[in-house]
Amino acid sequence: MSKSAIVIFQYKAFTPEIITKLLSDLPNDVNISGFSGASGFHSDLAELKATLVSAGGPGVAEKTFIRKVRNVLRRKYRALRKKLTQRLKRLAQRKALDGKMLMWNRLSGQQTLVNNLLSADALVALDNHSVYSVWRLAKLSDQPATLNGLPALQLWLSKRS
Amino acid sequence: MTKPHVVFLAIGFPPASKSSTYRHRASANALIEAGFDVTILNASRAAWEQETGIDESLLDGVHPDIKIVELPLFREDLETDIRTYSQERVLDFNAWRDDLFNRDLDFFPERVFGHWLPTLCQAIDDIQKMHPIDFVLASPGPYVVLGAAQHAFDAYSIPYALDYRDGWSVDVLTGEQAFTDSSVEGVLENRVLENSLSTTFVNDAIRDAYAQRYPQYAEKMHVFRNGYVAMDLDGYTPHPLRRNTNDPIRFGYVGTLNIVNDDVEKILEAWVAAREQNSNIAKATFTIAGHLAAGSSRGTGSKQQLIEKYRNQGVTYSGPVKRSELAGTYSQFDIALFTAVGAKFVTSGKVYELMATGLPIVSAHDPELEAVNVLRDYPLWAPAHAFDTTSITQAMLRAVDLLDSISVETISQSQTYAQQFERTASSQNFARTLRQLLQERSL
Repeated sequence: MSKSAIVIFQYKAFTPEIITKLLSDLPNDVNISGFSGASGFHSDLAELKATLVSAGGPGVAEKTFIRKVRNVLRRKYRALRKKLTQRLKRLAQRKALDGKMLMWNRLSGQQTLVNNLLSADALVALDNHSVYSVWRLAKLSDQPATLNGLPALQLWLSKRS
Repeated sequence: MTKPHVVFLAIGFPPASKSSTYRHRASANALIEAGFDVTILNASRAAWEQETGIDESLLDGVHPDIKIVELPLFREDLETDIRTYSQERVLDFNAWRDDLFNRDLDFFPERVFGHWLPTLCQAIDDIQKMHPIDFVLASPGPYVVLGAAQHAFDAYSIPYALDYRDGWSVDVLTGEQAFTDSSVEGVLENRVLENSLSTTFVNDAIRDAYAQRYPQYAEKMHVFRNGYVAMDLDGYTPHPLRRNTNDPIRFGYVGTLNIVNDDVEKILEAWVAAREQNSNIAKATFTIAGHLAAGSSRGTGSKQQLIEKYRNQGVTYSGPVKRSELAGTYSQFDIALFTAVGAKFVTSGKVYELMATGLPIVSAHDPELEAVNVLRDYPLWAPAHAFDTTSITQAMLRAVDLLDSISVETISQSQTYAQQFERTASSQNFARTLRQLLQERSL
């Protein structure tokens, strides 16, 4: 199985223990990138095999985060769809996604956020609260998007391999 | 002589990793032994993968002569591919789901599953053409299988029996009436019970409630208790016999944890209190294994998050246990925890398996739970006298006392007591009775 970069897109505050277990239960050859819009991931999780990106930085409220994403999507929708789809295709052609690890970035900014999201192989919503944003991003980028947790991830990985 | 062909509507048959799967498997195997040709109707693997998951090792215990037909029965609400979602769904999931479930009622009076009726009836029609059916056994839930059994009766005069397990018109969790006699469900249930050759339930309490509600069919209503299958515990060795006195005590729970979060918290708080009161429990571990949630909540659900909060108190969640891993899991425990939702109508299937381990059992549930009737004479039982933190703490302390005095003899006595609940014999009796009823009807 080739390595995969996956974005766990979530803003509900799951406990660090849940995220740790979720990540540790996945196959070793899968790279994970996590997004959190609410209070940010705990920095100790960055030491795991996952590379985590905090979209808004600690303290950013959930609604603010979602508004940010929606605003970015609204503004960038048309231009980004074409530009980033092309970029994704090029990345895929060069197999640049294999083993790709997003860098830990406490406050990556909106453009980086969208770029990071779209350079992932799949978007994962951890619960129904995140579905709307993931659904919109998936429509935008034509990326696979799955709800949620470990079984859905494993199912997606098994179908992909 | 041609074997009578029985179609067994057993939604949740192996490899579905569901609590009903063990009863379905035992019944189907017993039907084969009773001389039936058995065809199972089940939902597809893909559907179970989306719900509670699958356990291929469950198929090891399925008789090779059993034919399994997997039907395209899906629950759209459990779909995990977000790109297939409609805008209505992503904007307001609860409203979308309510609308979806209400549409089920156009097919059969059961939300969530009603829309499965046409597929089930079509399967009956198809099988009848290829391999004529002599008998139908339907085991709800979901209760939509009752509609399929009725269809077989109406369209082809095929006799049927019902293995209700729980009850439809009695809410087994609250004890309340689930619907009135004059409701759509009530009229339908009366009709399917009238035509059923035999209807079985998992305990006396449910059977009696049904006999009271439908006295005209009481003679056809019987109790077919759940039990454990000795084969599932092959290789099990009681850990207390191998444990050194200084080793940390291992508490464990295996099963679908279907109690509400508040009750989970009572147990975990009781655990913390017991650790404060007993130095041995302070060093002990508590492993919780099994299903905590179904569908997309698996892996991240609120119950799992709650349990993870107690990780620094020696509590761990180790995930679902495959049938092939069951004996190994129990072999790691010194003390088993039993809990269940509900009260006098609920026995649970897990209690029998727990008793077969011969381990001290901490009981944390409503004291009126029907399972108490089978636990009462179990030699190593430590019940909580109320479903509250203080009582559960006392039960945990009592279980440690039982462990301190445990011996080969007490474990053996406990396992011997449990042997009466090995389900092979009761399943064989169940299947033989059905065969006899069918023969009598043919005369």
